[in-house]
Amino acid sequence: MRERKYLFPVFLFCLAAVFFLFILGRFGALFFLENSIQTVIFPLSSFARNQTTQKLLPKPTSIQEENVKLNRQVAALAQLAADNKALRDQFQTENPTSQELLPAIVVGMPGAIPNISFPETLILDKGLSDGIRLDEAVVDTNQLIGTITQISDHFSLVTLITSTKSSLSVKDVQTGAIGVAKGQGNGVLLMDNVLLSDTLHANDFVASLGSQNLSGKGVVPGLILGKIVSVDKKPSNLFQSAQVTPLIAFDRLSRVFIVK
Amino acid sequence: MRIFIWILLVCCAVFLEVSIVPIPFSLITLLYMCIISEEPLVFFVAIFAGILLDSLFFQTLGLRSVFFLVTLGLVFLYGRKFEVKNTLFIFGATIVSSFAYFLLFGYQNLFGQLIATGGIVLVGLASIALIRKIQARMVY
Repeated sequence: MRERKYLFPVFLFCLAAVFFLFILGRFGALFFLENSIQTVIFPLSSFARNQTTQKLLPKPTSIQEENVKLNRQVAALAQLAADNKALRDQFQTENPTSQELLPAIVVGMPGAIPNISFPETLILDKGLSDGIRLDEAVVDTNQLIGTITQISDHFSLVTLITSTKSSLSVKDVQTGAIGVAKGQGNGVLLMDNVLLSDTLHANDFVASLGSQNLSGKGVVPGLILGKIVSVDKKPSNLFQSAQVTPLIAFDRLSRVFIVK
Repeated sequence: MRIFIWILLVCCAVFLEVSIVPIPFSLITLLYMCIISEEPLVFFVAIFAGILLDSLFFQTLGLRSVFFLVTLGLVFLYGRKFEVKNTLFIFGATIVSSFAYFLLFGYQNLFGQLIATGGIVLVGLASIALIRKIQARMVY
């Protein structure tokens, strides 16, 4: 190769420069640089994605759309029935809290190839300047999408509930069985750590148990995570588990709402 | 002048990677630059590409730059002893480095992405070979 004698010094210089950048980045000194890059690229990226990727996705048929709509209605009714029962029995009272929803546009889905790989995260066009904070829940109607895990001035990163990094306390809306929903990374969740004495049925709806902190940030209770597809219950195991699929396809989302 | 063209190419690759298909276009572009040009100047372009990608993927600045630098460093090191300007090496280096990239940066469906990357590299290499053949015929 040519210019061999400069190779090693240049390599070392570059490595030292990157190390310096890394240190600066850790202390937040390059926040402005990151913001500027994101502000320039993300709007263009969103436009390009809408022009290409969204057109490649097969359009849902009217029956599929109707099915999603009916599923949402059934989930809402099941939630209502369970709440009514709980209130009637005075075992559980839940004060309705006024929640402010902030609409946001999905401007990126890092790491997702349409119809090949499922997104783990979404990038939204709202950030610190819009009053968004970490750990806020992101929803579409009553379906929980994920939580805000990283944030910059004008954009935020949502880790989806189906991501392998996601785990949340949940309950079966119909039977009241509680467990932990862990993302499996391929568009499904696993409701795990459910006691063998509890009951889980296929087609039951799974909702969040609530994980808000003292300042009110976090996932509010009662948001639907999905529907149970199959139950894995073996007497030899300590716990039973169930596979849960969300009611909507996250890779088709273009607008979501942040629960403030 | 050449560095500006390289930066422009890398910007296009980053844009494609972030917006349309998450195939490591920037890594492939940098590898091609490194193999074809054989100039250490490509290290600076690698740092630039890494910073862009880290900002757009909400990761700590410098992570991807280090990966790119190490990968290019290894290619340069290999190029000291062996011939690197051949199709097999380009294909092999791209696949191996893409695999490491997917693994390190937490990509899903590793093998699906790898097959897609391999397909794109093959199409790219076939196109280059075809262009060279046409150019050779035109000369004669």
